[in-house]
Amino acid sequence: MTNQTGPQMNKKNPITDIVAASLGKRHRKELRFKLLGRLAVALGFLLVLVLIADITFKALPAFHQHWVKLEISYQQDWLSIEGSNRELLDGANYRKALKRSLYQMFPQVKARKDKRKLFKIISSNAEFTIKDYLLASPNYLGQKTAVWVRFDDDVDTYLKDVETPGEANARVDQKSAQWVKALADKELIEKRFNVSFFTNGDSREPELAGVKGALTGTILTMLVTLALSFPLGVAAALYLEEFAPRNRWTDIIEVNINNLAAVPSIIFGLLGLAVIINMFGLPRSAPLVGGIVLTLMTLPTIIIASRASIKAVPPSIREAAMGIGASKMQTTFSHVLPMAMPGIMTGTIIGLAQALGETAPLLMIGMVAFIVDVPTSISDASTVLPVQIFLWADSPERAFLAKTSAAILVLLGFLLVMNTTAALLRKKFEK
Amino acid sequence: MENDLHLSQHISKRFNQELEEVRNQVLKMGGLVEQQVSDGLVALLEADQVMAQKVVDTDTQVNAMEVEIDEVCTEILARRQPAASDLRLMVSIIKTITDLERIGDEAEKLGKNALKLLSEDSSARQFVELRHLGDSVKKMLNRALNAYARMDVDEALDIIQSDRNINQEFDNISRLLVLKMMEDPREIKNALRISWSARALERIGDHTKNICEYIVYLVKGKDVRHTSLDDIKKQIQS
Amino acid sequence: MVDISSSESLLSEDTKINGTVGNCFADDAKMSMRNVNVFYGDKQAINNISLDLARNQVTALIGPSGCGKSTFLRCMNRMNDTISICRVEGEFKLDDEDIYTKKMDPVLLRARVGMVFQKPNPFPKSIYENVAYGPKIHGLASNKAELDEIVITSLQKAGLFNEVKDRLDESGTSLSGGQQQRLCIARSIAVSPEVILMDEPASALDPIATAVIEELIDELKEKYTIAIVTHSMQQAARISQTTAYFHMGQLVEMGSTSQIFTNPTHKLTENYITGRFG
Repeated sequence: MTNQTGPQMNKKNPITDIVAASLGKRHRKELRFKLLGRLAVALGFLLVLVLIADITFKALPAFHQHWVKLEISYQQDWLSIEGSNRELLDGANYRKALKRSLYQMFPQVKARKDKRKLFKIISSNAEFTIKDYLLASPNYLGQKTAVWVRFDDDVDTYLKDVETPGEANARVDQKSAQWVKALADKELIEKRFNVSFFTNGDSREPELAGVKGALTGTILTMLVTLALSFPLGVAAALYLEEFAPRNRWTDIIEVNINNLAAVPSIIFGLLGLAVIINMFGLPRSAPLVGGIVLTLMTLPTIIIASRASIKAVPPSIREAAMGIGASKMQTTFSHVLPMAMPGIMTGTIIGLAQALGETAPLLMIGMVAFIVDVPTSISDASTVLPVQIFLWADSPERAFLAKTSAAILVLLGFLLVMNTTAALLRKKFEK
Repeated sequence: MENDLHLSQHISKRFNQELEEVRNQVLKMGGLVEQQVSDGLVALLEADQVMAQKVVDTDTQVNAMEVEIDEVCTEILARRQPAASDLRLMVSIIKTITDLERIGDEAEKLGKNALKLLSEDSSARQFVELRHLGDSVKKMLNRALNAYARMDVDEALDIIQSDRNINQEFDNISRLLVLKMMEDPREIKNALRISWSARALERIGDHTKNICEYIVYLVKGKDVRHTSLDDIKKQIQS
Repeated sequence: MVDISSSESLLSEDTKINGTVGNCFADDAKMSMRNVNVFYGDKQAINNISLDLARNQVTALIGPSGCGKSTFLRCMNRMNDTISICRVEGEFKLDDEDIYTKKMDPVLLRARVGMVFQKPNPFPKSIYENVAYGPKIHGLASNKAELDEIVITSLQKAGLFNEVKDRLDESGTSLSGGQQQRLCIARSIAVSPEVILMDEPASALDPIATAVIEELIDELKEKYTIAIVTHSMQQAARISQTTAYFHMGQLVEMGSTSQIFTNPTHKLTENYITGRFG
């Protein structure tokens, strides 16, 4: 045994047994870890799925609306006008015409109280609907015509909840239910896609409230954020990584950038309020200010990601460019930056996605206000989607519940569009 | 073994061994050739038929060794790509064994001449000058092989110098033989044989000188062939 | 066999470096460096080295890792300027023009003294763009036709044109390692440098690609002065006319390649090229 030293020993190597003995345990460990990983992924996926499904399910009612066909008489005395010129039509009393027309359809309703109740099943916006209808075709003046108008949100919700109208529920009493049933029997009710959700700004009336204002506000705010944070972040990262000398000052700056990324976002809001609004006097609630505040918040993320990405560009590329006489600037902009771009884009998207969902700092600068108009510029008062969601979630009307979910879906959709754009751009740069 | 080559200091131990082995083989071949020369002289001067035959037979062995060492050197060149002193060692070995083999051939000639003389009932026994030349050459070869083993440049230079004496002795013998042949034309045949033997000894001296030149090349990296001795010394000192 | 103690004392006596042995100056020098010292912070990387690069010759710098040969090479086109802790002393002259003065812009210097690196490092752009980049930034071509001309001749000089002429718009990184390295050589000769510095240009390549590069270097020396750092002694022996042996930041020996590889003077050189313990 001892003198058997040749390389081809017939005897089994004792190491083989030792290794073989531990193999089973090692493989089992590996298997366990794989299973655990799969479980984690499946669980995460499931949770996301449940969340999306829940939101989608809750949001569905918000995408439809019930309309009712009313026989409207555009009688001049009902409209309280004499004549037919545009100015008169604009200032006419459509409310009265609407009321009269409605009462005509329900002649059995006599009591004042009931009449008021009857009028309440129609959206308060209906008078404007019939006004717009007449203004669009003024020859109906003095005529009787059918006009589709919205139901009030309570009735709308009621119609969505019940199979067949007739029974009372918490928000719609017996009488109203009967009237709705009568309208339904005459087939005057129609379920339509809720276009106004995408074309209207916010409203106190749920049947009229839309996300266009918030969505526009979000887009404008994001544009401001992107326009400010991307060049600033990339420039800062490039300078720190490629040009700045390594000394105590750059170390301090680096530490502080890292710290800044961890600062609670509401602090940025306070800063925005104190400095941007109070000191520089920029308008309150404006996407411009929101964008600046969110830029402050996004910058550290972009800088950190960009620096990591710039650092990952192989030094050989820099040497290659410098070796043929490119200046530092040329090296950086024609070689380092393009190669770092995909990573920088990822960082930017992460930062923007964070900013997109941010409410806290925006509350501080007044973007939480109730704003009906759709903003048209970055200095108009506006709100953003997450704040809109927050506001609707806070509202007592039941119809806002569905709207909240629908707004969340819109927010997610926006995020998806943003990420897809980034992914496409990234792919283009990676080529 | 004390020398300047530090053959045992390569990072590759295997390379150390290979170089050591091939060097030992050369020394072994040198020993064999030296014996052959010595035997040849005995055969010639003592008219020893057995010894003469042995000399002739040994030549095959020497030739085989040359081929073998050549192969080993080729392999080392191919596999190790030696440089500097290792390269010079390889080159000097390849050249040395060629000269050793030639020395072997010359020794064989001595044996063959001894056999021829014996077959005609003659011998070189009484030829003192030849004996003297033979001793000088034998001593020179022995010193050269020792110098090779010790990488002794000074000794090698000394030996190169001593080749002159050998040549002088050969000239003397030639002159003597010419006189002899003029005195007694019946002796011409044997005298020619002795002349050829002396010629062979002189050639051995030349080959030995070559080997000493390789020693200088190996140790000092200077090619001293076809150079006068004074120039050689100047070159080495520079 | 060998008495260890005596041989060690013998070695330490032999392996002392007392300045450079051999001939480190050329009659016709393209670049000449005198009394060069380089420091990285407190550490001295190069210790008082003087040597010449002979015009239209290949000079090989060899030596063990960390001996300063790459550092020295990079000093010759001021690539070390980018390292803040690196301090260079001594005289570097390119055709009698000091390259470490304020007057000499490193950008211009690097256009005149090009560099090829160990790892093939083509830009992740098309083959054409790789070669055209240098001439473009230096404004060497006034129109597209001239630029095309420069690119094609550079690729031809680098012996790559026939292999890539049908796919000039493909990415440079899609080529094989040897082709990439030749692309890098084409890229550096596109700006018509006078000197090309090569830092182990074939160490990442297979023997065939290496042979092609070596052949190319041999041809290039007709027009350019070349300095090459290499870890392969055979490579130095094959392609260079002059070899310099660096050891611990010092230039131990410099001389004709044939002399260095058959009969080096210094014991350290001998030990290094024969693979002995130093």
